[in-house]
Amino acid sequence: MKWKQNVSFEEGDKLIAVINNNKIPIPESDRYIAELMLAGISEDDMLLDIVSKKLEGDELKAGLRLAQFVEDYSLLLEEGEKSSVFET
Amino acid sequence: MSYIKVPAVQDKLKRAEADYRAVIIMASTGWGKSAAVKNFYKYKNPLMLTVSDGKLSSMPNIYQMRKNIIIVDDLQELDDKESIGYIRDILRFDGVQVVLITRGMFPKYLFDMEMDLDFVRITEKDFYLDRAEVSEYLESVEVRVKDDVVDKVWRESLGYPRALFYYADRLELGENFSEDMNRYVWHEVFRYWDEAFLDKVSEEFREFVLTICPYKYFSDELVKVLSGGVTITRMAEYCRNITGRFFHGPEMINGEEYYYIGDKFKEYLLWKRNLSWSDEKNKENFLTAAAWYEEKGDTPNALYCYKQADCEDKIKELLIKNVTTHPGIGHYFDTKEYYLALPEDEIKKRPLLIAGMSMMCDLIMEPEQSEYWRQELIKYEKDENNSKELRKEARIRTAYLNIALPHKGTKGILTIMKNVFTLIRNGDISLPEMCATGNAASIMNGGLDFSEWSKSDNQIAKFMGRPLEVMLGKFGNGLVTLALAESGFEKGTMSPYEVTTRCGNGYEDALHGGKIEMGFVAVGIMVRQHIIEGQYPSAKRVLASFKEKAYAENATQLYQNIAAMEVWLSLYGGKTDMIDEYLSKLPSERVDFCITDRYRYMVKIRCLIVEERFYEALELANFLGVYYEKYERYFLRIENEFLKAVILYRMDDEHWKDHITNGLEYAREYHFVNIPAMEGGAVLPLFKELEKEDSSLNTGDEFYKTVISVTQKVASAYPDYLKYISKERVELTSREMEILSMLCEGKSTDDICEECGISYSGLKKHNRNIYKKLGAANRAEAERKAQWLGLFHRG
Repeated sequence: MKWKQNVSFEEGDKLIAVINNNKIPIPESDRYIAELMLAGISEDDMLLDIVSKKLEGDELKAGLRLAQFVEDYSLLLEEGEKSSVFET
Repeated sequence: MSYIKVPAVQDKLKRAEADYRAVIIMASTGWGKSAAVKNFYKYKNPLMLTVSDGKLSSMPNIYQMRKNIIIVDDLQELDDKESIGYIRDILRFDGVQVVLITRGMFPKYLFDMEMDLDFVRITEKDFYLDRAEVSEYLESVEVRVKDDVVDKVWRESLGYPRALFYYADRLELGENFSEDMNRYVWHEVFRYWDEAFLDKVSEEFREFVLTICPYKYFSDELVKVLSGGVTITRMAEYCRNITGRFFHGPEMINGEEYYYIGDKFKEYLLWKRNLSWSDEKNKENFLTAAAWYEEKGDTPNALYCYKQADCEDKIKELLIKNVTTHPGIGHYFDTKEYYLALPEDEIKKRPLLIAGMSMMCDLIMEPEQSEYWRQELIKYEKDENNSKELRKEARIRTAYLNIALPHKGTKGILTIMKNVFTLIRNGDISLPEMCATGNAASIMNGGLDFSEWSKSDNQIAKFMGRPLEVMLGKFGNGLVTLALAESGFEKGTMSPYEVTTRCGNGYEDALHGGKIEMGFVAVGIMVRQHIIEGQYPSAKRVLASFKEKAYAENATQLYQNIAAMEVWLSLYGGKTDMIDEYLSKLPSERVDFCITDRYRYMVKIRCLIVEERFYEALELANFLGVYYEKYERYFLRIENEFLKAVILYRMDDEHWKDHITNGLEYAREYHFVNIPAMEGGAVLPLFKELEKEDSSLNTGDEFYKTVISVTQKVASAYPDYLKYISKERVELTSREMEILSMLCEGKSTDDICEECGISYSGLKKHNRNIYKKLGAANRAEAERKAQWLGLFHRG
């Protein structure tokens, strides 16, 4: 999962995503996921792993959590690779 | 009863007499068979024979007889061998005309003689009185009434002479036509049927007809269960001999054979049953049938029977049981009267009933009521006066409704799912079965609209795949694969090869350890893919093969949508023969609308377009539009906009531009290329007109260019799609076709005259003919008609 090329961020008390001059504040509940990605973690499996640790090791809940993130920020995210879903 | 002369019967008797042919009159009681024959032959001195105790009343020596007309009445009673032999002899005898009268069918013992003797057959249809004959009869007995009364008498008597006689009787006394008169007349007819028919049949047959009469349709199995061993075959055979076609069928319903009794006779039998059966016997009959229906999973009929047996508790129990199935299988809509009949305080005692009400209200498009009941369920769970067990049930049902209620759409559904998942993990609840498709051949456009997810389909699938499979159980098999295949197909971002491969994989997953509903999704995508690729025979083959499988597995929940898909597919082939039956079977959306029928209604719009019933099509599209807005059905909203545009375009209403523009705008948001493209030649002319006004459309806009390209492909492959197939096809000469093509290409008058080598006045003449044949007033209209009749395709 990656941010689009033209997305930038303003960090501070609040984390704000900027795309095409539109500012989108990232709520605290989503901030940690956004910062993981900003730190360069883009591998879906790695994200799942980290988020599931935060959710008491529940990988399925982590999947739902990340799916929610994708739904909320679809405008800011690159399209996922098919290969990440299907075995090639 | 004075004789009602029926011209059709008289004519046939005259014809038979002139040709000296044998006559057989076959009609049930009360049609006036004997009276007709008596009246016709009254001056001809026939020999009248009747039948009693199975034998002819007499068998005079044919050679010594001085009669040349022999009439045999009540032939249905005949079973004596000697008498049968006698009948055969007199039929073969030269110089004697034989007239046979029977309530039954053509006797088997005369089959071998049928062709040789070329019987004149007179049946019930011939005795049926039309309006003119009813009026004539009333006049002949000096009953002078207004035309509207004659209409009513004709309609209510059903053309049945005996009923007409009783109507005339009452009207003669100066009574006004009324419901009371109707009741009186038919009770008199029923009393006559008692005497003339039911009192004369065997005890077994009488019991049989009274046993099965309340049931709309009855199968051999139901008959055996209710009557302890009697079979329809035996009763049909008995019936055949004594009263012709008493019951009709078999008709195939959900793969099984069923029979039914005609309405009036059913009414009579119910009347008789109410008079002759005790309440206990009646109740026992209904309870037996109810149990049988319940075992078969036929909830609506089971409920009907329990209601007749006054079993309120069983009704409640069955409604509760019904709620444990998902809406695709459960009978919410067709049992709504039972839900609505329950007192509110009764409903509020049982969480399953509250949940059932919520779902049922949503299905009949009453989201506010649905919400009311969902809130009641939440209240129930919080109320500590309720038992722990029932509060847990309320919690489970609330979780289910939060995900599955159609009006809630998919906004926030992931958060809901996450919370539900927590409850599942904690062992607080286990979810009842959930089907994502709502019996549609789609996931994205299934029970809920998941179009929003298609924007990040791969990413969401990556994270959601496993949780969904866990939550949905067997309904999850193949789901992710198919959801992505569908999304890729609709957006045009997946190659045909990949779509087909993914569908194949998804189909296999679904059918091995999964659910057939997912198989239908795979089929739906493959059918649409084949259509886009111009592979019409492949599309038909895929659907036909799945239909066979669905029927073999008794997947009744899919039958209606499969049938709708068949009709829709036939439209691509330019076939319209399925339309009439399809439209006649679909209930009016204004009377009985259930949101699970949305796919069927979308196909109905297309059928109405083909039939040029534009106002009806528009009305339906507008009606559905309200549902799509209320329930966040984005996919269908897009489809609806394109269909509305087509309708308005054909009505020459400029607002088509608004709808096509809206359609494009909505489709663009999701990159849903194939929704407009599937409408092919129906929608292509609209795009072309739009381009005339805005030439920039087809240049910079990648989405639009893709839409046009695929739409053109579909239009070329299916020139007859949604084309009005006129009963009298437009017949243009080759010259006229040539000129019409040039007109549609936008050539000037001078160019056309020069290319065709004709004068200006010659061209004017051809144009006049072309406009006349197309029913067009001018060139623009002619061009438009030519395009949507498929006579000419631009682009």
